[in-house]
Amino acid sequence: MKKFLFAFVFLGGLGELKAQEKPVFFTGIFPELSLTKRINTLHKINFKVENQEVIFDNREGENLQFTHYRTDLMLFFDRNVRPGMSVALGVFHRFQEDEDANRIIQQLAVLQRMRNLRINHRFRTDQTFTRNEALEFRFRYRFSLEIPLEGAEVDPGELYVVISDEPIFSSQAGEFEIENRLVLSLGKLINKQQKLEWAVDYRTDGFVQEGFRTRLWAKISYYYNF
Amino acid sequence: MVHYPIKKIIPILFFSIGIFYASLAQEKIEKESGIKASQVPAPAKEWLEDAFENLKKPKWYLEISQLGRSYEAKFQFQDHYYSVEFDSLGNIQDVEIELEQAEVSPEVWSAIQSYFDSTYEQVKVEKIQRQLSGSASALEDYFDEDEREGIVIRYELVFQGKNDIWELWEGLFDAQGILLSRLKVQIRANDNLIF
Repeated sequence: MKKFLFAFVFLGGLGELKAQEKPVFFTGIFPELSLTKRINTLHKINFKVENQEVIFDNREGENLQFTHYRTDLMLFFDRNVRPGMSVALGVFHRFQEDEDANRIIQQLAVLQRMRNLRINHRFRTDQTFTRNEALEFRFRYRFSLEIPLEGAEVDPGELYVVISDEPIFSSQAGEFEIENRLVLSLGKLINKQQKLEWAVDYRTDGFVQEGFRTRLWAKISYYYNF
Repeated sequence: MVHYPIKKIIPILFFSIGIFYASLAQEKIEKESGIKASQVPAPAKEWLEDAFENLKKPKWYLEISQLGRSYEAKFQFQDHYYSVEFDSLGNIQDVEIELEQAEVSPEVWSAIQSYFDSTYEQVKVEKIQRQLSGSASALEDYFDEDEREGIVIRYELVFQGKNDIWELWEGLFDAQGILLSRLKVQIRANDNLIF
């Protein structure tokens, strides 16, 4: 936990060094819908929609706006390897202002169950195809810590907190880049099928190449399992 | 960027508020929640103080199930993690102590191991608990005087077992390591952590 906070402060600090040229900052809302269908004891399918709408952008003056930034559609096929460990393959389509993007994703997720915490490690590699752009390769690792707020376990009707951090390493046309995503969520396990999470998602990128920027999203996520 | 009027935000807000209120219509549930020591029946606290001298503040939980209410104290004592369960009136029910495999006697472990060998291709043990039950005085004597009379010992193991596929199990074994019952364990959905 301390290490991860340190890493965040350190990465944040790196950003500060470059921040003299007025870094790009924008913020907005980020609703997200995730549907997971269990096919059998081993397999499940996840469909996810994310939508990002910008409300304030420091390149466009003081005025508030409501501007579509991205809509992402994702479909994952997940296979359980062991209890708490699964591999998944995903396809992704992004609607955005310029050319839309397509991506394929490979994932390994490992869940550690402690007496009253759950820690998840998610490793992903992905390849993004965008017309008129070079193929982009990324490696990402997300560390998530789930803390029950009422008792030792999250039971239906109870609140929990998830803290996660995800560094993303990318390479496109020989250029290397790092992005970091720090998310603090308050969740409610509505019942065994449904969860609702309210989160602050803080993204920083442009650490290596020109153009350090920060993006801050107010996220609302709904999860349904059936 | 495509500009939308600010009014577009309103349907999205209503959408999320709607989901939230729909969620309040919940089903009847079993749950445990953390409580303060002052909310625990006096006999439970007294039993714990008598059986475990110099015990620092345990964490208390209230469990509500179809069988009714029960109270549970969880704490670390002499390098072991304990869960002590009391009924709704604060009468002691059982004590569970987390163990390492090496702390289980070799005869008992070999019986458990032979169950594993005969039932699964591969096994990975995640947690071992020694479960002690008996009358309030017998259990108290067990902890403060190491007196074993009137105590029923069982072992509760959480393990991954593989035949065609890996599954998670909770098995209850008697004092000799013979399986009494087993139950398949479902891990609570972690879609929010993996997708």
